[in-house]
Amino acid sequence: MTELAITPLVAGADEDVAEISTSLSDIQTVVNGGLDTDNFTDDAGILGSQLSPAAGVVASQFTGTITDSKLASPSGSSYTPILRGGGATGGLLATDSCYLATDGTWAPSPWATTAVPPMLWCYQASAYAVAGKTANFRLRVWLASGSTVVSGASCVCTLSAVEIRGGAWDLYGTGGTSNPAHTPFPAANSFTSAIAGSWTDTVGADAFELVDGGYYAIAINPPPYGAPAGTAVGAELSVSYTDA
Amino acid sequence: MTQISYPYTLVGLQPENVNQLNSNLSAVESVVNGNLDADNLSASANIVGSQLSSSAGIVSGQLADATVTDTKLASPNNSTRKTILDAGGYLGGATTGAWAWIPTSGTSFTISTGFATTATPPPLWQFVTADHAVANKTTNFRVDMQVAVGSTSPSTVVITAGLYAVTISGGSYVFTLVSGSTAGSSGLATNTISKFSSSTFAASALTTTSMYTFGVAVTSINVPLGISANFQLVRNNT
Repeated sequence: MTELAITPLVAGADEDVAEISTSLSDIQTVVNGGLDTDNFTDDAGILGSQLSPAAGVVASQFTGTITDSKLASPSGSSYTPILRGGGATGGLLATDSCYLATDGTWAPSPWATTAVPPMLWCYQASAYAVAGKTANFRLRVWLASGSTVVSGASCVCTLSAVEIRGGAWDLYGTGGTSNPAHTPFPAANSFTSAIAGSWTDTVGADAFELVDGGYYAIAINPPPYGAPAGTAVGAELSVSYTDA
Repeated sequence: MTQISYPYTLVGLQPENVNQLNSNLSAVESVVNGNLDADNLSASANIVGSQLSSSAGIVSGQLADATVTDTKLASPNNSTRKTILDAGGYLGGATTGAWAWIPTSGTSFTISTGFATTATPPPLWQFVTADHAVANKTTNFRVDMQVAVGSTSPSTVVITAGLYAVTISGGSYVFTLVSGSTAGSSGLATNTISKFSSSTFAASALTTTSMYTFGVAVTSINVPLGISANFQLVRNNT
């Protein structure tokens, strides 16, 4: 601290005026640029508006954490695709729970491991975890109708756990399925889309919990009387991040 | 606020009272020596960072929301390109002028200006503006293409990839090129892999909730055998 030390004046002394001048000069010296941190109270409460607009505060002067809410352009809020695909659904039967196979077809489950496999995604919690963030997973489904008029038919699309049982790929393993949505097929010669399911990586926050190390595939259940000719369904699993 | 308040008001032409003067000076001393606070500073004090302690202890609450721009970040990642859609397949045998659409399987090309919805669909991507937007940034896309050539000379073949809007008409997928999304090959040589990119095009070139896929135009000469291509749609925000 640039301490102000004023010598008390003595009554009747000849040099009183000189001492007053010295004291005033001392005050001038301190106030005119000699103040430092110790001159201020510990809780001085200096406002940001009292800092220079170009203060040049550096990282070492900042001891907090910068969350997305502090960023002018947080990137985590945009979605990044993880798994995508689609295939023609015409003719699939209501009894067919199908997974999306690597050749762009919907394969009825169970389906022998000697045949085309599902397009698998393995969820590894550590691979998607970001400190201070909630990972938001989402399954967006699209449906297409050809020239056949589809009336009232809808398709259920989910992200479903996949297991191998008895030499066959099987859906709906112990990992369960994401919250399903009955999404209607659109009018003839058009597309439609919907969010078929969304959930977070926060344990206990959602009805559907991804199992760390679990295997998943995009799955559908065709409508009760089968998928109409000329229809197709696809989906995209993607993730975004928000402040926890 | 800690303000200097003089205990005595000195009056001119009165007999000197040094004790009162001492008290007033002492009042100044007690405020300046450790009792100043923000209210002693002008609202436009203009304090610079170097006047703060090197470990000033500024915490998050003192940082205004939405004010830290990418230029302040040591490792901003908005400008890096993320793959949004990818596909690839065998192109050998495609004829001049034909459009090659890459089925989802990626195992072969269907040469057509459109094909029935009963067939395996192309790798469709639905663009939704909000899914790719970043505050205060422009969303940009680019089409990247890698062309692999085997031992057959590609001669003067030119392969031009692009992003295409997809609609359905008369029971068939129909494709419309997105302006500015094309990446054309050049100088293809045998037994090589080459990469090409389109110009960057803004998200405003796309229509929200519309469907898109890749397509290829073959010009100049039929594609020889042994040629395949892979494509990526990449996005960044600048």
